[in-house]
Amino acid sequence: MVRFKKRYFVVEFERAQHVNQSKEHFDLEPLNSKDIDIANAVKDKVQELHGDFGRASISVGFKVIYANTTTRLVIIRTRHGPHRLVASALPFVTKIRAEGVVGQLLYTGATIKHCQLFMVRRQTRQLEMAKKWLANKKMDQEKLKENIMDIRQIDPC
Amino acid sequence: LILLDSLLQENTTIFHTNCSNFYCDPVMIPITSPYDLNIPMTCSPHTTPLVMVRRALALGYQTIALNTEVSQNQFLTRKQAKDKAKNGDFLADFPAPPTLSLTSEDYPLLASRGLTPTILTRLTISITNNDFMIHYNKSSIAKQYDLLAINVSSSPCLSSLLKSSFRWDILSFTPSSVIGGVRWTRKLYYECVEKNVYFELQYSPLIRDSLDRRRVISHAHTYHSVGKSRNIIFTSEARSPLELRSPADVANLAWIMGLTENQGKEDGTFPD
Repeated sequence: MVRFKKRYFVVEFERAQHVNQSKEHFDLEPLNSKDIDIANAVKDKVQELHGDFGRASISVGFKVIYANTTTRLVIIRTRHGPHRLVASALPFVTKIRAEGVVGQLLYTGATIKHCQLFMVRRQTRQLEMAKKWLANKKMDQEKLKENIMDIRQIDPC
Repeated sequence: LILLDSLLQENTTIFHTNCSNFYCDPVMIPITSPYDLNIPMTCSPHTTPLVMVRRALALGYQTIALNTEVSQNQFLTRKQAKDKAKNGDFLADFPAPPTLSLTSEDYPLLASRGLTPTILTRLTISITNNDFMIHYNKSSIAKQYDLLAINVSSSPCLSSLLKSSFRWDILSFTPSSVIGGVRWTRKLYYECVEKNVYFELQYSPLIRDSLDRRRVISHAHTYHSVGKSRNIIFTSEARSPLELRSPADVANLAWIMGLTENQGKEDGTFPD
């Protein structure tokens, strides 16, 4: 049987306030929303841009999970054809559950394995940056590492 | 004026020439992609150009152009200057190119790779007829800008500009002038292409407003049907740091604007 090809988008959502302030502080607050809220926000944007057709065609095989809540890393899974619709709608997502956000597409992969590799590398870099910026405050190093390096897996099917 | 086509062909150096009519004074400037060639100096009151540039560099851009916008109405003709009763903000001469000093802390991503960003200056003139050239040729300040963009609002205006031997880099438009604006034909499009003029498509009107979104997309599709989307660049025109998007996102946006995926990657930015 010909396999169902998928695309996995690795997206990071930054808080709008954080972007506006442009202070060099490291933001370790998770967003006040769950997986479903992000999924709804993306689906609504696709509906706005591509209409009912867009929303319907991405709905099969569409899944959004929070890979890491501390650094607000999200994985979005779509089927291979309609992934264009989702990819074009991602820059327009500005609100998740009434909280202003700016999305940044970090990586597009065809397999979870490569997304995983990318995420592990990125989180290691984020951990180093976090350690550097929070060196003054007394943060529990072990807990910080656990929070940042904990990457949730997305279901393969 | 930089020869924009050499900039976009991924050469590492470009020529910076001074006046189009007289002798050229080439200066080499190193450029690299990804680039964002429109960050307006007149941004929203909550932010400053430095904040915008920092955000753009953090998102991954390497070459940035700071845009100063002027309109032809701001320059007085001799006749109007005699009539001193005129009110409004008029300029005696073009504003000086902005300078921005960056330290390596402003671009940690690039500094870690051992690279420095290229900050260019760009002048955008919104014109109504060819008389702006009088002011432009007189002024020596205007020639100090690296890039020149012209914002055209009607077809006769564009045709007369093409007929003159004036050379400029970028052709842009405002979303509100799309409906009554230039009637694009293949002939007009390719005349611009032959003059090495690049067509600018801005993506922040898409994010800001739904009406502007429809207008810009329809204009982009016009470019596609009339000119196969040749010589197009994507720029941000972001008035606040929230409207900036990373190079990968902009390449994805190119698909809505009527370009193929490869064209999208080349015509604005190179996602890593």
